[in-house]
Amino acid sequence: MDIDQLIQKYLHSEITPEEREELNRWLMEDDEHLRYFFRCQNLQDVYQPAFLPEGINGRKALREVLPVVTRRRRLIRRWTTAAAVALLCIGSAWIRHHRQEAEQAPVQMVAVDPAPVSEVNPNEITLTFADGEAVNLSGEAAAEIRREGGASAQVSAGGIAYEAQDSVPAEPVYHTLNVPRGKDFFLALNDGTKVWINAETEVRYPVRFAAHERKIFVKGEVYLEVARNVEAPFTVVTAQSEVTVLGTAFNVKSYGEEDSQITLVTGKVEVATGDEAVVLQPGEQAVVNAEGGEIATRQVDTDLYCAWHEGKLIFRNNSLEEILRLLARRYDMDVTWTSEDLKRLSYSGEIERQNRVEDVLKVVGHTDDVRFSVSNGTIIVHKP
Amino acid sequence: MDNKEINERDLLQKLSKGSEAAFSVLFTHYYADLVLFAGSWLKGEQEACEDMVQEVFLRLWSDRAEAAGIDSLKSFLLKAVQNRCISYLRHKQIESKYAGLAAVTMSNVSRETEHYILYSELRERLDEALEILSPVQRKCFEMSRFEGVKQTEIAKELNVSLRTVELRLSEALQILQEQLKDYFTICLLLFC
Repeated sequence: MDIDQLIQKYLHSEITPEEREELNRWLMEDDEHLRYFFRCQNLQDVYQPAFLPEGINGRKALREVLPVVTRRRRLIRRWTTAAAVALLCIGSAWIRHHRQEAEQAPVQMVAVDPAPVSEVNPNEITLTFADGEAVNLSGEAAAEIRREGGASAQVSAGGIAYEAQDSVPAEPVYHTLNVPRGKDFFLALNDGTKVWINAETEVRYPVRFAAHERKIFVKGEVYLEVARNVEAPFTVVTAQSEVTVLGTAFNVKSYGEEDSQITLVTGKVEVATGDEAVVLQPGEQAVVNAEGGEIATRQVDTDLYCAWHEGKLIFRNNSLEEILRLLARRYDMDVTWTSEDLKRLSYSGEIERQNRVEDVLKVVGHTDDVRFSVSNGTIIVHKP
Repeated sequence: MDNKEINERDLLQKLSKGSEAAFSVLFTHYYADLVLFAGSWLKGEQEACEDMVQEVFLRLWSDRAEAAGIDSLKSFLLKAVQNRCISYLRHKQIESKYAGLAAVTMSNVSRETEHYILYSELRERLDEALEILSPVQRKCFEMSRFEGVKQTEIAKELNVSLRTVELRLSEALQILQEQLKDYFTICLLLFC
């Protein structure tokens, strides 16, 4: 058989083991042969690309990657500033110490904590360490705040990132994040998994995952982009179900009082309750009944359920009751209804996230069916 | 695809000093080509390929201090992507073995990254070159080179003599060789 045909067969994955032997022998004979082969392979790759080149969106990919880049960078920059500030403090304390030495007892040196919090405010984002100590994560101060369990935790304004360190703990060490109503937060786990945490949500996770299992616990709503690792499945445990994946993007919404929803954007996940399990395909949503625990699946427009992590609110024929429940959580408001009928009104639309709930309500209030007034943290819904 | 000429040395310098702008330019310049390159290993797994290329770039970013010392970024990136593809396939092989599934076949001939020509570099030129061919020359070339059809079968299909196929092919090869010579200086890919 002539060598070109062998190469063609190889490139089309039609080569038999014997022919493969023959091709290998020929390739070994001469470097020139090998180069000829590489060129054929290269030309084939270009002539019959594996994917539609037009379907690869570099700008979109860059938009996904850049937040990681800028965050890491900001962390480093902030950390350097924080270190400089800490040094200054220590420096001046030392000078004072020297000056006063003659007449006074030495000034006691206090360790400079980058996020000094004496009392934890439950209305702020709170991180609880393995030993039960808790700190508020608010304000701009950015720094490494804790190093334990084989990882370091680095905080910045909008998020926290874990990086594995040299030592591997025998037992996983857990941290817990509490994001109250009216806030959201970003968590980067040590395996590269990204977690967007919505308002009124608690997430418990190991600071460093074990080699063969990745498991986190969620009460509330998170959007996840799980880093692919075929050797360690990733499981999200909620009160009602367990969702297991290898690497994928999906949304889990599991507030105690409502049915939980697991919405799959890409990849594949398994949703399991005590006695039932379903596998979701992209574009499918599993609804776990809050009382009975039954799982129902349906096709959905995933944007509707996942757009919040990009700061957008999308509604499709949602009842005003649902919409206001969501807004109340997002903006930390209470809702007063002056008429029960209003709850059943339904709306569709897309709203970019606004800083003030009033601006969101203005959009909804553009219709003539309903009026809102806001006072003292309460949204009052009334007829026009 | 970003076909703009870029000043790589300069960009690598800036990258090593932490320039996000330089990172962005390099990313968009190479992204699609690298995803296609990964695709030559992992056919049909575009998402996995895109993930891998993104990881390679994030790695480039986190090791940016050394970026100024990279000799050929193209070759560096191709190698990094190829390594990831190979280890991904290895994982898959192990996985399918445990799952009792048919083994994932893995070609163990790596691509040569030093002189690899990227999709965006070659595709346009190749298309232009193919345009110059007569329809019969082109048909013979494509069947023989890209579809792996034997010359005797090409003759049968096109209803011409074997001698005609041979002639048209060698004409086609000569023209293409001339057209693409800048890209294949090291060896003559298209000799017969």
